Amino acid sequence: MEMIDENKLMQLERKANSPWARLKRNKTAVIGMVIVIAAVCMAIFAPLLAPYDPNAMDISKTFLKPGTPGHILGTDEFGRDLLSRIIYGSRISILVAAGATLVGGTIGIILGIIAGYKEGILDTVIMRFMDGMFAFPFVLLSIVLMTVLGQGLENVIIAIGIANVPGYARIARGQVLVVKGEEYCQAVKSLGASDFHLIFNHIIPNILSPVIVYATMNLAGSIISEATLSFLGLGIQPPTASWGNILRSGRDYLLTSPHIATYSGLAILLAVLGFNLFGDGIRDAFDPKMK
Amino acid sequence: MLKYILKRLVEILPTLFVVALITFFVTRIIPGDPASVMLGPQASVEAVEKMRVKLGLNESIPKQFLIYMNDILHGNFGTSFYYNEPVTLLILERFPNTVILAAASMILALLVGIPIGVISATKQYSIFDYVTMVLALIGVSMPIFWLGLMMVLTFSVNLGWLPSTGMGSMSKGIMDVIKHLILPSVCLATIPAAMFARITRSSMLDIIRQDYIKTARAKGLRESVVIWKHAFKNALPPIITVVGIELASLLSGAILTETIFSWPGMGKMVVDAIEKRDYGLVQGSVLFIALIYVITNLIVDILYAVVNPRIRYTKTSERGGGA
Repeated sequence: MEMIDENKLMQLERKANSPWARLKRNKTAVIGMVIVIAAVCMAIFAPLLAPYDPNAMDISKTFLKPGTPGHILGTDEFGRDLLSRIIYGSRISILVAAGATLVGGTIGIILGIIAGYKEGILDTVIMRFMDGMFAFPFVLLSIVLMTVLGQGLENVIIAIGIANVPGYARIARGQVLVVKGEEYCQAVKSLGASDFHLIFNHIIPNILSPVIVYATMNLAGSIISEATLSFLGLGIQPPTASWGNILRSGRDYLLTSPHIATYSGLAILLAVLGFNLFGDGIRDAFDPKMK
Repeated sequence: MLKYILKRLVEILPTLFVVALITFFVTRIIPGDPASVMLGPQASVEAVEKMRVKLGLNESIPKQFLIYMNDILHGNFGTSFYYNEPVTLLILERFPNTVILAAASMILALLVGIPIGVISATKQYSIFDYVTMVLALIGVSMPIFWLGLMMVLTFSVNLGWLPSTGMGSMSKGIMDVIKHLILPSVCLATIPAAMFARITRSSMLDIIRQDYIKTARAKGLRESVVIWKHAFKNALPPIITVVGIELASLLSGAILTETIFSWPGMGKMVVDAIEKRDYGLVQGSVLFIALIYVITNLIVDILYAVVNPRIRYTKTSERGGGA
């Protein structure tokens, strides 16, 4: 009988228990991943996928119902093809979600690392400031920031990004406090490593997992935030298509042409659902208790 | 317990200070001179200057901040540029309406979410469990403003069952107010109900696998006693945490729900103030909502300590670590 190679067996076990393998086994996470990939592809390949120019008006074709030949989801109040606008709208949603996550994540992680690593007065000042920001309901904080910054794509990203900062700072700080107390960090420090070396080579790589999990969940929240700001008229301004501003204009024609609000809202729901399913899956895959 | 409450009260003071600091600087950063905005484009230079003196805008920034803090401590949240009335008065007029909506939504969310979570946990992998958890997942992903519009479309426009806007009037009887309350409160309750169902299920699943639950069953206790008295009671702490988060988040949700259903509360007032560029009202309301948010979180923390006595004896630094 062939001897079982113990190393190979351990390797296989490790592979089967890897986060990626656990993620692949989770059916709902895979569904989420498919939705996320589809949304990202839709955003990237919008010019190829959209049947019409999203801003091309045709006054003779206003408020066409869904299923009209050539306009599968109908048209809006300016005769613009709704499907094309929703496809192009995905670009704004994905861009804002990714941008805001990057802005919030970068600033939050830096602040969290400084607070957790230095502790003392710097920690107190940073974290009390984060607590103060946390005291503002998320939507309200984004609204306030938008009134300060003014409208525009970059400002939407900055506003949502800044509103995201406290969440990342708290997670990063908590993780740094744990990691820097670990024996390997103490050993590196006692060997005379600089703070810079310790932070970049030992602390950051070891705090990334929970931050990545949080970022994935945060993407869904950022999509909703962008849609909310645009719906309130503070975010992306027409004629640029965003799911939120399509829904805002659809609200005015809810009685006569409900398809505008219905389909744009469904696009938001589906995208957020996808990111939430994927985020849940990533969280479970990285959770040691799930092994 | 009193010691814990006092400690938490002291702990929120820096947070409240930072909230006031942020609101103060935001007011100063917003483009446009508040005095000019308040008096309109026709106002003379002298009148604007007089108003600047009245508002304390000619003072140095640190002195302005001291005046601002003094005003807040005396319950003065500023003046609305549009209505030319104290923000406090406008808040007192609208805030009770938001409380009615938020309370109705919270009660509804608790009544729906928690039993669903408990039943799902006790009937894990059943059809009920699958269906309700899929619905809960859709619920937490729901853009609340879209849900509101769809509810208006279905129940007001198509079926004509319920009114879509306003708050109704007590002069027409309590039923009129209740009818007006149904759609906005169901809309606002959707996300919290979904969250409660998910957290209750997950917390209950952790508990019902414990040995003491098996022991309770082995002792021959009725299943309902095992579930509600032994398991649910011990599953409560994480549920209370989420209830607290959602209670505070209801204020965010109310901003959108009130806008869609024209519910005359704080949320609609803030959105209207933004549209009218009434920054005085925006800042005052924002500060007030943030204060309510902090106080709500404090109450939840205290409630949490009542349910889970271990919290009372945990050092502040230990709690902050995990954040």
